Amino acid sequence: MNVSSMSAVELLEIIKYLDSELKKSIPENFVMYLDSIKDSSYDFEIDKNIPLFENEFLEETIEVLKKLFPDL
Amino acid sequence: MTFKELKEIIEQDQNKETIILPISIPTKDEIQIISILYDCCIPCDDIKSVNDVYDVIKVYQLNPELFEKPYYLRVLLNSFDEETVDIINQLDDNVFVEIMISNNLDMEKMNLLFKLSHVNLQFACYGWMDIDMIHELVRKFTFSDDSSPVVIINRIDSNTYEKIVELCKRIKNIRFRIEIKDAESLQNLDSIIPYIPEDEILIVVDDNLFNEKYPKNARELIVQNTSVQNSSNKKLNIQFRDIKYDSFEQLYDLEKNIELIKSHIPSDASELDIITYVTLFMINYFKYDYDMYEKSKANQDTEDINLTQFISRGEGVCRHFAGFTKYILDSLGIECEKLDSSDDSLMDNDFEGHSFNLVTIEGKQYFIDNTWIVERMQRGMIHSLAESSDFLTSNETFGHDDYKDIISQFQCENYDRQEINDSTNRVIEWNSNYVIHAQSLRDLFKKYALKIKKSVAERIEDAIPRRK
Repeated sequence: MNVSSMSAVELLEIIKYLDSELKKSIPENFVMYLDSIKDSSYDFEIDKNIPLFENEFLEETIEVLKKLFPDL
Repeated sequence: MTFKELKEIIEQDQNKETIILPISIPTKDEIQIISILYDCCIPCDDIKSVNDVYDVIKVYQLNPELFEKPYYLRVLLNSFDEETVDIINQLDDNVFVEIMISNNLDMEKMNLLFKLSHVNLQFACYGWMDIDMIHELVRKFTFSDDSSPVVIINRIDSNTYEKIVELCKRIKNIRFRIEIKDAESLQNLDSIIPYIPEDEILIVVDDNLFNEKYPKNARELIVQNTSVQNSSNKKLNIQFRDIKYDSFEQLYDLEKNIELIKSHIPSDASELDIITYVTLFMINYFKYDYDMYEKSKANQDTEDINLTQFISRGEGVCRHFAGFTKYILDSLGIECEKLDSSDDSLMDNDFEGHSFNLVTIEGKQYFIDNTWIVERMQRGMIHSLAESSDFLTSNETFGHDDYKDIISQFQCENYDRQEINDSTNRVIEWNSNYVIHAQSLRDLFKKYALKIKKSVAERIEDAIPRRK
């Protein structure tokens, strides 16, 4: 799965907060891969004061999440 | 109270012939005899026909002069015949008969119904029937000008408004009630509102409609952030989980706010920890509104709870605290009841009304009164939940002697105070938690799916560069 460097930042931010059950679906080496390609100059944080769906993500981030969680 | 007085009360309630269409179809014939006075059903498990019902009536000697209490008979029928009609016609006039037909009505059944001559008759059909049949039934079962049939609409498609217009043309004083059970009906609701003759419309929303696990859920509307419009300026009374709202926006706002509160709860949290978390949240967020209490007391006013306003104001009285506790714990899968002293069955004669909760943890029941916990913690009268005689307490330890009539109806236990201390210590670490649950991801995917469904023009508009 190829991921852009900006999307990697967003995915790492999301994965950080995933419920422990959901986290089990993420391969460990995938997190390492995201970490290795992330764009360190891209500053991204989830706004925790609004529901997750009201946060703005790159479309690519959502596409990758859908691949990671095909059953949701 | 004499039977005659009770009968008059009941007749007042029963004088509206009701036609209900269409709702769920039961799987088998069911017959119940219901005592109005005690609001309980006499079990009739072995009954196979209305003949058997009549036997039960004999066994229970439903003679109002003997019992000084009325009964009414509820007959749920998938099929009925001449014999059924004969028996119902033979019933004493003191027995109220409510016939509920659970499947679709055809002309043959209609003709049988027309042979009913029992005086105290109420009719409901849970199946589909066409407008001609409704018209005929209303003609048959409407005995006075005051009788206005009620049609319950529980599936709304793009043609429903035509049926409403037709019914209004043909049936005088027809009334409507709307029950929303699926997302499609909710989305089509606005198309029928202008055609409903009443200025104030009751809309009952299924308790599960916004639950992600419910197959016909309408979370998409919350995610879309577009409320059901009320372009006709009619007053909507929206009832959801026993609480009333003035608009769907209020309902969506409440669901969003509840999600924010839930976003700190890990999925493996214990029931005790969740209850502790909710109470600690309420201590930090809400205040008791003494002005509202005084006004309610002076006016004997117990206006409906509106939890959206309770959250936005951050203040309320006991019914808000208890209502909020039930709402959020229900949504977190924890069994919770709201106990209300103003309920007639729980009324004691000489104390002010109050509301609190009963929660079940691993099959055991406990009292919880978040109103008093919040008040006592904020005033410094107690310093921890373990100290509180209102948090997860038993009949003996619960801090309210004045609600004995309510309390004595339950067998509650006292939760181990050390475990409550341990729970508090775990929960206060959750503030650093922000947990993305499966439902949050599903909502995100829905929002994305809606976004890519947008028209080209909308997508162009979205892409116009602008300052963020």
